Amino acid sequence: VDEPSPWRGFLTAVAVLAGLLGFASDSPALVGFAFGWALILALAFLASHRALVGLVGRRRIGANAFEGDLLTVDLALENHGGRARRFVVASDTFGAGLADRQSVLEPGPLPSMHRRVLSYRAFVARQWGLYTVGPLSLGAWDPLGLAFSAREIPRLDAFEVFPQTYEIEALSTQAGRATISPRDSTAAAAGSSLLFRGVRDFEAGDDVRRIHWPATARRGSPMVREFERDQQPAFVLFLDLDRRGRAGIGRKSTLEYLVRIGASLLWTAHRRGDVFGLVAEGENEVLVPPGQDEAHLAATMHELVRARQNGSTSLLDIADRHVEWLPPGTTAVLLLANPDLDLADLGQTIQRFRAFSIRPLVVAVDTLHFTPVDRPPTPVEVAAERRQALIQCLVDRDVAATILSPDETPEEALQRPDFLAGPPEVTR
Amino acid sequence: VSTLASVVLYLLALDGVACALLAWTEPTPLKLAGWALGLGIIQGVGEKLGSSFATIDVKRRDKLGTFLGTLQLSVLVLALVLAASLFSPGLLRFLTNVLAGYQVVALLLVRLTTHPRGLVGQSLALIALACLRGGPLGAWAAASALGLTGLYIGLEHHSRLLATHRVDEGPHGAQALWRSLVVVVPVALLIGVAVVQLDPEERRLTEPVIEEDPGYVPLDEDEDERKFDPRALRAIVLAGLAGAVAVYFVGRLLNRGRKGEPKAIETPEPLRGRLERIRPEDQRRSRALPQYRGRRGRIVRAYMNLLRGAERVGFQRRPHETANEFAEALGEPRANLATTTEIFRRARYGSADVTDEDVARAEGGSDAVLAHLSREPPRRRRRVVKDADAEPREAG
Repeated sequence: VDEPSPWRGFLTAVAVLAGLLGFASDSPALVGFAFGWALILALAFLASHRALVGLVGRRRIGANAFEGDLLTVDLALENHGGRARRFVVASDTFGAGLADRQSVLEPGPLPSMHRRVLSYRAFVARQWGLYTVGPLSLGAWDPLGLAFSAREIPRLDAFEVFPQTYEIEALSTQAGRATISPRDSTAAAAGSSLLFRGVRDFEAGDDVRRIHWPATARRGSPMVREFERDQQPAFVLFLDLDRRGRAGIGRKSTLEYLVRIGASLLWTAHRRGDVFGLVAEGENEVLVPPGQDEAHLAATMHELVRARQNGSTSLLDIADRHVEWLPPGTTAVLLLANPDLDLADLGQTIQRFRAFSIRPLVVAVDTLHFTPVDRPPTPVEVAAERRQALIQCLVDRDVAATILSPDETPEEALQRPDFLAGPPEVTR
Repeated sequence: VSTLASVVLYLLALDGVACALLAWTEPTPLKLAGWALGLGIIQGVGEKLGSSFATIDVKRRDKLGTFLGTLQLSVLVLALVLAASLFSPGLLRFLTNVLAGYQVVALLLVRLTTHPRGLVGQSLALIALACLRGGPLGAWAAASALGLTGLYIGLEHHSRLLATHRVDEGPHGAQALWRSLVVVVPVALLIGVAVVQLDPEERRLTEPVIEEDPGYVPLDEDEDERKFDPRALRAIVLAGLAGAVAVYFVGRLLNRGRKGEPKAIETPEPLRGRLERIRPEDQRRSRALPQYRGRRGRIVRAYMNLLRGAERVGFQRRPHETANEFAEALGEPRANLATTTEIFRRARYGSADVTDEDVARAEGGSDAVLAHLSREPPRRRRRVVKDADAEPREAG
């Protein structure tokens, strides 16, 4: 759309030839033709540059989408110049799409001091991750299409692509929702319910929206409101970001399995109306407290797609640290990828969960069966033995669990009706 | 737009033939009308053939078009160089007839390639022949060639642009024509007038006179061999063809090295929102402090001076505080502070005019307050509210 006109080179060559012939044969008409063409080229160059004077472009786009989504990107063209503009081309780079650029035409007229919003539909063709949108570039041709000038607006928008999600049927029985049985909805400890508990001094990290202004004015230093702890059962995902769980490459990597499975678990909880949260620890601790609605889902997914397996703490230790903060009746999913899992520790963690009235679910990625990247390969017999031991451990404790191997894709596993439907089958 | 472009292309083809025929032959009006009709019919056939050509792979068509174009270009360059250097009426008449006849073939194959460069090049060659004649006809030929060629490429550009972006051509045809005309017509007129001024007379048609040298003794050659040498003709034809083929392949080689990887550019159909009016920059709400002139300005400046002085001694006005609240908080000297504050309030927010007496009282009051503060500094104030999101503003 911005390639030089095929006529420019051709007619310039013709004009040069005409000029030479004109000089050689003393023909003013031929020289005039060559001169006229040079004049047209100069006018075209000026016209293309003038066409962009006063034009401003802005982009409006959502912050995220799921893989395979079709979304609308708005490009607002504003004419701050003194004359109406026509045939303006706006080219945008949508990083999550396959095409290098998306180009839309505003045929005009776009009068002075007016704005027109042009929208294009873009297909999210790339896999989950962080992408950029932009830079946006405005371009215009001269009326003959001989010269094209463009101006780039160097603004990049961040755009997140979340993995494609599937609803997990078995989770309909593994509740995270409140029941109708009578019980206290809050506990007399600091938390995030709606029940007011008191006022305390502001501490670093407190939400500024919780500042209690009258108390602040009285004390002369910032004070914040405190609420009672929410006792509504939640759905909490514990994600294993231990670097020992790294294995495989590309779509057959443990990270890929962890993120895709985690996204579907959170999505299912959101669709069911659960209060859901995320706990993980890579290089930094990731803690998304239980919450609801689409904004909360986006915040949780944001943490999920940014996750990297660079932690050094076992997921079981992390779960043990957080278990006492979880309301009774909560469903906690342990999404494991650690090949050196101590089954005795796992058993203890499960027991601890149950002691706090928390229902444990386990999804384990069989890391030993993935292509190793930073350790020697494990013999097949040893890997099979460990898998059987894990299965036996989960069966003995009657924990609903699924163990994933690289033989099936996460999508296939998620659509299986027996995914998390009960203890894994012993296949001895 | 594409229909208009086809009409202009026909006019260009006809213009080339007509100019060359008028320059170097003596056509009757009937003959010219016959050419006009014939070229029209042939272009119609050529446009019809376009749908048949469309079934051929685009790359193959382009290759064929480039090869034929190279041959055609070689022939045309040779013809024009001969015509310009020899300037023999006989040769020019012969070339006019040959190239006019070849125009028929160019029109038939007009849609063989994406861009009809063959037809445009052929028409321009005929026009170049007409330009060699000079005078008003040469001027017309040069001006009309510029005008029609420019108009055609303008219309073709708009047609291609709209088609690429999947925008309906219909509503934009007139605008495309007008935009192209605005650029092309002034240049064409300018060139036409200038050429007529520079070369008002046509060149005379005189056959070159060959003076015989009495001392020249022809070689004793066979008469038949002098008239026709098939080996020389074969050598010329072969050399010409080999040259054209070489030009074609060298051109392709250079072009291939330059093109690089093609970019994947999507041109989705734009969904156009409605037009919205935007406010000019100078009419947007400004966050800058208003400028006051005259007496009001002096009073406001006196009060600002008071605030700055209070800040220097550690008593800063809080962002939410009104002038009265600030005076109450500062306390002393009560009378001067109250006077200055009251006059400032009237000057800043009131509609009634302020007098010179008000100015003198405000300035005097402000000076008195500052003198008092320097003697007896007030207690320091704690900064309670830090408005981190607020824009930087003048102290006080």
